[in-house]
Amino acid sequence: MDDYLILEEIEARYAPDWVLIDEPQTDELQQLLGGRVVDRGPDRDDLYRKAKALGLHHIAVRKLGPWLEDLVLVL
Amino acid sequence: MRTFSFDGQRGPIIVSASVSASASGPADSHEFRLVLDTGATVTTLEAKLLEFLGYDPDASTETVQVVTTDSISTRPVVRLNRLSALGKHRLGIPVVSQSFPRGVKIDGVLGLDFLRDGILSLGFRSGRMTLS
Repeated sequence: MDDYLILEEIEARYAPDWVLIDEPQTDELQQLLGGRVVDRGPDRDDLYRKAKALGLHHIAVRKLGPWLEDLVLVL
Repeated sequence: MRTFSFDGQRGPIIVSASVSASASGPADSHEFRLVLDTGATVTTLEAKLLEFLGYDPDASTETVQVVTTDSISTRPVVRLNRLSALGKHRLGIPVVSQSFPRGVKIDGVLGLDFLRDGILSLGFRSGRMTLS
């Protein structure tokens, strides 16, 4: 799970989980390009605990998968 | 001036962003996604994200009243070292700490406080936006 993957590979392998990405690479517009997936799971909180336990310094935590068609936002 | 793409035909407008940790935090920075919301007066970030970066919303003495569609609640405010999005950097910006439902794939809301000194252009047909 420690190989560098581009975002499309991460989506294909791990959707619809949350993933913890170490040393995420971004473009000049700050859009995520890829990184090393160090953990995955259904719970975001678990990934933050893992990141702390591993002492990671630069991370992304990302929910994978498409935006649900029947999910709307009223903020 | 940089141009950003978004899906103008469906779903929310998602903005890539990053935040720097506080000096006492265990991490340096975090890449995440915010929903652009011109109806929100302030920027809001997921509480767990803030805690990971070393901010302590529960210890904050600064609070605001947050009005949503069905409630008014008091929420803590923390001031970030740096918040970056849409090619802009805001130093010392206050953000509201909020917990979002687990199944929702966003980490917060980018509100008017981040946008106020700029010109925001949204092209829904072209799926392009700029903040100058």
